[in-house]
Amino acid sequence: MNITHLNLLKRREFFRRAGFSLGSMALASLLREQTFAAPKNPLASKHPMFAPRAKRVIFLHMIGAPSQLDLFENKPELNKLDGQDCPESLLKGRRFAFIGGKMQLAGTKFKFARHGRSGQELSQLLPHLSTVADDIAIVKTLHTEEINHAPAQMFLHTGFGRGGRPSFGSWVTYGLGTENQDLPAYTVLLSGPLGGAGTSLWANGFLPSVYQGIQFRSSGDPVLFLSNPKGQSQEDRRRVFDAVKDLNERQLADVGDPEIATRISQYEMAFKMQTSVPELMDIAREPKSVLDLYGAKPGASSFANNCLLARRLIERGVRVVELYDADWDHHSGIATRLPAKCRDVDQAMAGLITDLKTRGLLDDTLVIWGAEFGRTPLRQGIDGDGKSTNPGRDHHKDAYTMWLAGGGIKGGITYGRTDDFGFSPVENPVHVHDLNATVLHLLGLDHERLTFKYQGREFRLTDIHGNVVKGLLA
Amino acid sequence: MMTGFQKTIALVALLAAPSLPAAETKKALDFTKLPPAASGAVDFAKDIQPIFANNCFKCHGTEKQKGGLRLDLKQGALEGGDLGAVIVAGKATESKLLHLVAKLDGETQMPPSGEGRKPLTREQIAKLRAWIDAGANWPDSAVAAAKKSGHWAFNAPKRPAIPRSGDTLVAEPKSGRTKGDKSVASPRNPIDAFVLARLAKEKIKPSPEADRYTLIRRLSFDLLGLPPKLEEVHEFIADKSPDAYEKLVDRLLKSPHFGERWGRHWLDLARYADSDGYEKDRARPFAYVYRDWVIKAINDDLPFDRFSILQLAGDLLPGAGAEEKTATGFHRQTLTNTEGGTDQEEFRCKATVDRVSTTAAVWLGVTMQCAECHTHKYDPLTQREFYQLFAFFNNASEKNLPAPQPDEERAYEAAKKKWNTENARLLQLRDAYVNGAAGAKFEQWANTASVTAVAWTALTPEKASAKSGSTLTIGKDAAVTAGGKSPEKETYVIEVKPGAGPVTGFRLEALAEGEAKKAGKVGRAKDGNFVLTKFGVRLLLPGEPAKDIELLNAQADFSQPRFEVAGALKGLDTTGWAVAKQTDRSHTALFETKEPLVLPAGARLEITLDHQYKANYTLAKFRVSATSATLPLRLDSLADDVALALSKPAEKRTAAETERLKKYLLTQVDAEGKKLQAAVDENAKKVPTAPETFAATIAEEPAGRVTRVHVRGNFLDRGAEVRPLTPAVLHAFKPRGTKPDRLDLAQWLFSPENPLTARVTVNHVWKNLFGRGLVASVDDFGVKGEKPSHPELLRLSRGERVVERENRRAEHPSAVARGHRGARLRELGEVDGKPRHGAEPARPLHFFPAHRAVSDADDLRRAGLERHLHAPRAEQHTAPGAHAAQRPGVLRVRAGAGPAHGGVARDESHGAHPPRLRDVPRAPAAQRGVERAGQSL
Repeated sequence: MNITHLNLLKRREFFRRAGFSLGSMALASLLREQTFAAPKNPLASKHPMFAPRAKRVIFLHMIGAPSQLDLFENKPELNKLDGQDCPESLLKGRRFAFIGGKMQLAGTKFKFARHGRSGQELSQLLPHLSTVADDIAIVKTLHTEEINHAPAQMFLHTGFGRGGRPSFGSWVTYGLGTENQDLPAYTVLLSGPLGGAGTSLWANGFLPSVYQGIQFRSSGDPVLFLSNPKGQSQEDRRRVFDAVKDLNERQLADVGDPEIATRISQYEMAFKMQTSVPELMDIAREPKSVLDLYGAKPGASSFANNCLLARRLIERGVRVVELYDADWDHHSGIATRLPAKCRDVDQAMAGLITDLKTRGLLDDTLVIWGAEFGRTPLRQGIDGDGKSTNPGRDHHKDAYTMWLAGGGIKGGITYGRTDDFGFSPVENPVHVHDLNATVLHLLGLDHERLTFKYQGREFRLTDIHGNVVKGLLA
Repeated sequence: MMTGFQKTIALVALLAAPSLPAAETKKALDFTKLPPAASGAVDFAKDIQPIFANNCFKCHGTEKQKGGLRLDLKQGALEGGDLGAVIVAGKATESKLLHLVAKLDGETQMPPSGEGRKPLTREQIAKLRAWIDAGANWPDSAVAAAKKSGHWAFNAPKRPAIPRSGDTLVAEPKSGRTKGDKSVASPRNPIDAFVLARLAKEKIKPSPEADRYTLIRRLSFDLLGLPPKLEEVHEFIADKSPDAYEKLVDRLLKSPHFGERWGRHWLDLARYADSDGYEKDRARPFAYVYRDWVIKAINDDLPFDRFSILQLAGDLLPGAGAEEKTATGFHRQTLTNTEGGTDQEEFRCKATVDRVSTTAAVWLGVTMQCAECHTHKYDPLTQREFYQLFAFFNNASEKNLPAPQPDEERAYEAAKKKWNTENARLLQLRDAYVNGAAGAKFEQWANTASVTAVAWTALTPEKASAKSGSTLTIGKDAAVTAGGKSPEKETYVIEVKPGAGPVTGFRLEALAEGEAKKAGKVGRAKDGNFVLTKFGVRLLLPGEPAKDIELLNAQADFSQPRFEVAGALKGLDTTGWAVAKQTDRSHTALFETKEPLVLPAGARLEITLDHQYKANYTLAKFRVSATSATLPLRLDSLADDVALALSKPAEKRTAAETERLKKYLLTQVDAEGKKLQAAVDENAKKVPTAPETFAATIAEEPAGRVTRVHVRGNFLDRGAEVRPLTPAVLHAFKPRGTKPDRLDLAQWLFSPENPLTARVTVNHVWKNLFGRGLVASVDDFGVKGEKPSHPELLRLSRGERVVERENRRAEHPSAVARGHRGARLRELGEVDGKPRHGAEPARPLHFFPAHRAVSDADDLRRAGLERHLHAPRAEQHTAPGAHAAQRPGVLRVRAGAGPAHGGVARDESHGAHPPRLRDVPRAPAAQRGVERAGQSL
């Protein structure tokens, strides 16, 4: 802290002696970011620890957990035994969130087929994703520790099943900074309501708050209170900012609290976002062919629009973009609700891959699709007689599927194998910690060295676990 | 032969099975290698202790306790290590110690070879054997070969000599000083003396005494967490007496806000929160009961030992009442997990682990939590000792005791009184009407009504059965309830014995109060409906074939379209009586007999209720009654007893029946009477409910749990059994009886020999006054904790014990504030408000003040709130979407609770970040508690 303190003093002195106003300096730096970017800016682009395979990451999170057994995991044996009582031996030692007592195996009603040169097997519910089958690596053996949404979402994002630790996006921006100082380094877009863990999924935990994710609303003002209050001109606004900044800088020089540095840079960013954000969010400027590729409709609030926005964000140098799509928690009605949800996302996510590829961005952009856990090979929604009119599946933490594409990922492969019912991995299990270790690795960060000391201990995203999954690397 | 399915299952089961560790192969012990016991008397101090000292202490002594075993202390050696006992007194051959020193399994030997270590000689082993066989006598008089620990914190402090004369340093005169202030350069108490001596050593001049404005502001924040009011400032400045400062301190200590401010510090240690934590993070609406106990205890100046013992074991004190039990809420601040699929034993263990860790951190300043999974890596605390402490808490159960608050009780009593008055008034009005208007109206009505009244007699079945597997239960009210399996189609058959008759009709009631799952619905189908395809009656006479009784003129109070009640006499599979859209209330059907049925003696009736429609459309609960009334029968809604009374000629009615009829008429039929009755009924709904407020407490279970070491912290993997005991490195544990309990533990903490509790507590007070403890790691006085920045001050704290009235209450914050003049001290240490470092840069001589009070004051200003004692709680500003998502988005004060007080009443969640501080890195309460330093996993 002492060093920061000194640097800040110097910088302040420099500005003072140079006779510039801070405002004009900031404007100058808008034009010449590289030259004037303050070395203390916690979000300045940093060198990775080693040569990265990906420079940025887009995470498509399906809140609620889609059924891997209806989308990715073709299990003929399970289908054959659909509706039969599940033997006790298979259930021993397993935890389920809701189901209990006598349980029945549940096959899928959907057809699977092989796609692309790689022959990846996908369900009929994902016709668009099938067209990019050769670009994605399907991991079938993800597993986690938590069986309820909020804790599992936190575990996936922060490596810990309770709130209070930084999200992976915060870790990444802490490690790498960002390439665009006019936009938040870590941006979040939602289609549908929040997940159970709420905003803690993009919280900075104990990291400086400059690394927390910023949510853009996909309808209305993308960022609340971004526009100037009525009757206030941009110049007035600037003068207020300058005065506040001056006060903040003085306080920072006195007490050296890094949170003040954060506050200063947040004010600056907010000012710059007044011009950068409206431009960014205006997808109507995209050609029709691109809108059609995603199925995006300007003015709507949809996962498709968010996918297109994700591309526009990373194109502008934003480091981490996370999209949340709600309502995948199909305890009942899987036969109708799952196809409807797939229609919401299938075209858009495939469109995103295709668009990134066309623009040459897929090479250094990592795309991840998945959720906090998967769903059981067991049926949920059974009455006293074992009858159900509209069944679904319960939470399943022991084995589920995610896919990855782009920056450093070997496309067209299926990684890991589960047993004939999809209960457990039998080959190449991938723990959520392993996934996070791999994501950091692809971004040029060593998950064992990316640490932050808090309350006397060095913390990591992967706690004390995690291995890079070499088999996924191109 | 396995079928394909079985094979697959077997395969999967094999693959899914967790890999088990190879079964522990116990090497056979070769006892021939064990030398015979030495003959002659063995003296512990002369013969045994030197063997341990020379061969074992290096790994099992002061510095290291490998395997959780230490052989330098009696308690450690005789209790054993993490894996269990090593010395079985009187049984040398069963003692693991001998197995290992004699290498009986041919493999493992202690001491292990290397670093110049030698195995024990045969003579030494023989002596050990003889000593153990003779009962392993370890006299308490045997002086330990070395100190229990070389670490400063585990040894009792000695009071330091107080430096003399700081008079050589004189403060620079400061302009504008209030007249009458004394020079600060002369020490007023031992602390001043130390500070001045140190400043002299560093060649720093003490800063001038702060002006009175600053003084009162600092003191107010430090002691009350609030800024002084303007008039208080004026009063202080105007007070020219030499002890104006002392008077101010005394006044502030008497303020009720003192308890709030210092209670807040304590609540942080107690990991206080208003919610459960984990996924659900449900609100704990009455958490404030414990919070208010803390505030009151501090305002009442409860001595710190009593304050502590009540919280740790108040329930075990003789004659413990509500007060003592409420205090145990300290250990109800643990997290509760109510999410789906949890094993409650797991979370009971987690809460118990938390109780051990928090007790150790708060009162002993040791990181006992490290030893949950393994013996501590740095401090002389073994895993076994962790579970010995665990054993004190393992028997606790969580009890919620009714704890209506005085204001709630008053409000309840007042409301009840008001309600009673109103109720009496309404009853009186009604009864006056019933009794007064009874005359003419009643006669007229009874005459008319009796013409159509049908008296029904409920038929209690002698037998009830279902053909397809439902279970039928006969209730006291003659009703039959269906339960268990719910088959597609079903036939209920009951056998009844009606009176002599003649029977002119049957009534079937379909009751909407069936089994729990479908409670409130008349049918067992998913939509709550039923379809009665046939209502049939047969006459059973002994020795004769059953005879069908013909029924006609079916009527019902309600039938769904195309499922009219007449269908229930047809016996078709495709229709019958059903009540869709009104499945949530009871219905009645009537069937007349073709001819009045006279029953000979011994006759029975078999009544069949057939449900041949499909999809579980069966009755949930029903009752059958019979009548002898004159045909035709009419459906009416009269209660059975009313109908019965009406069916009798007026002169044959009993007085009670007449009374009942009168009341029935005038409250259920007559318009005016109905209105009066409705007023009574309406008021009944408003009866005030007693306060639900409860105190969360802990109590001892009568049947004790056995405590075992949780191997590697896994609650399912239970190791050696342990008994309640305190760590060997600390002072001796002297329980009251043979079964040590939490109260013994609490009293052990306040033993005068305890080297830690007093210093740890005083250190907390320092931290709260100066923003930093004398030991910066307030919860870690262990080897890896911070060294004391001012060791002599800490020793002084202990040595002086900040005596007010008696030794033990010394540690109470108010006593410290009073005795030490905390605010003034800061003024001495501070130089121009700038950090000042001594020779060692990492050790500031000056401390920043704590910021929390300022934040609280700021809150008050923003929210326009007045601090107010004993407001239950205020749900606070929560960022929308903060976990848990169900938290409200605005500051909400419970209706009628009065304004909330900032800082204390603000709702804290175990699971979510404190919202106002959301952009400051700060953990939720659950992880904050004590600032956990030096944690290792």
